[in-house]
Amino acid sequence: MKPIKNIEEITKYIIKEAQIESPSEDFLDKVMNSVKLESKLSLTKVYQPLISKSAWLLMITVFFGLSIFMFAGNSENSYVLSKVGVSFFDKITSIKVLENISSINVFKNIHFSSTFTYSFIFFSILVMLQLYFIKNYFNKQNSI
Amino acid sequence: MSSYIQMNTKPDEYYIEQTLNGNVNAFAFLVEKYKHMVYTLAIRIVKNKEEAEEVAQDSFVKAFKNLEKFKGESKFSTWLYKIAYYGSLDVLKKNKRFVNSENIDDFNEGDLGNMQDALEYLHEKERKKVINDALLKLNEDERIILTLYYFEDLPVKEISKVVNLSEDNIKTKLFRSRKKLTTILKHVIEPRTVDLR
Repeated sequence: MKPIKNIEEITKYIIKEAQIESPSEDFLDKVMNSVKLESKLSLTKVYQPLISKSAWLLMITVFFGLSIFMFAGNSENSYVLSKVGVSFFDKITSIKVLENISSINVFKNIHFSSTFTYSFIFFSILVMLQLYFIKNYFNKQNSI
Repeated sequence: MSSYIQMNTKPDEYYIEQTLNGNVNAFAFLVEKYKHMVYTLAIRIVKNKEEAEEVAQDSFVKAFKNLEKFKGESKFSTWLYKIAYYGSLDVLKKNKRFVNSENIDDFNEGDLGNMQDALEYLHEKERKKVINDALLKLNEDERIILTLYYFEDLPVKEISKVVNLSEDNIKTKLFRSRKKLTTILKHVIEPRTVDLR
């Protein structure tokens, strides 16, 4: 071996001489057993979101439906309702049994000011946005 | 050798894709290819065979579980070494076993030839032990950086991804740890080889 002149070369020589270590003979088998067990587990445990897509769709529809309803019901220009077409509700209320029920309006004394309605909708949207960002943040944290 | 390894040598990406497509056995090739380096990195940090073996195994299983998240922005080996490095540090943290490393003395580069001669005099097994003992006196990150740079020939850029330090920081650490290692070895070898010369 030719003599070493600089520190760079001797370090390389030292590290090469240190060699690498070998794990036990059955290392591969141990790892593969764990890996196979892991892949079996992941097959049986298919990820299912807590709230399904259709449930989300329903919630969004109901949420926006209610928002529009509140907005239309509270504002002076109630032409929105007539444009939306509530003839379906008219038909329901024309049924005699329902007539009595529909005449009892438990909410008639509850009024929301439009300021409250707008701020409620606005804050609801903000909460949803926040949820989205927090979820993404934790997903990133958990991944390597 | 296990029955898993019957495939030809192909790039890592091929085996990663195969594994992701459901051929779990393809992952065995990656384990076989990197097990020595992953185990070496682990043992150089945790300094215990059993724990190193456990960390190495966990690293591979973790890599398998997160293989979908591996985007190929770095080499597969870099990604895997990073998992092993942080896994090993976690074990150290859990056991609160951090060793104070040695201070650097002045080192005269004129002594380099003598050091090489002294090392050559030693029997291979003893040489390995002396060097490994000296390595263990460095900091964890210095040991890993030296091993990756000089044994694995990994570029500074890739090493910086493994240990999460800037490239300049790696270069400084390489410079310092080279000095440290040779100084420590000088102190260990010289008293041993007095009788031999």
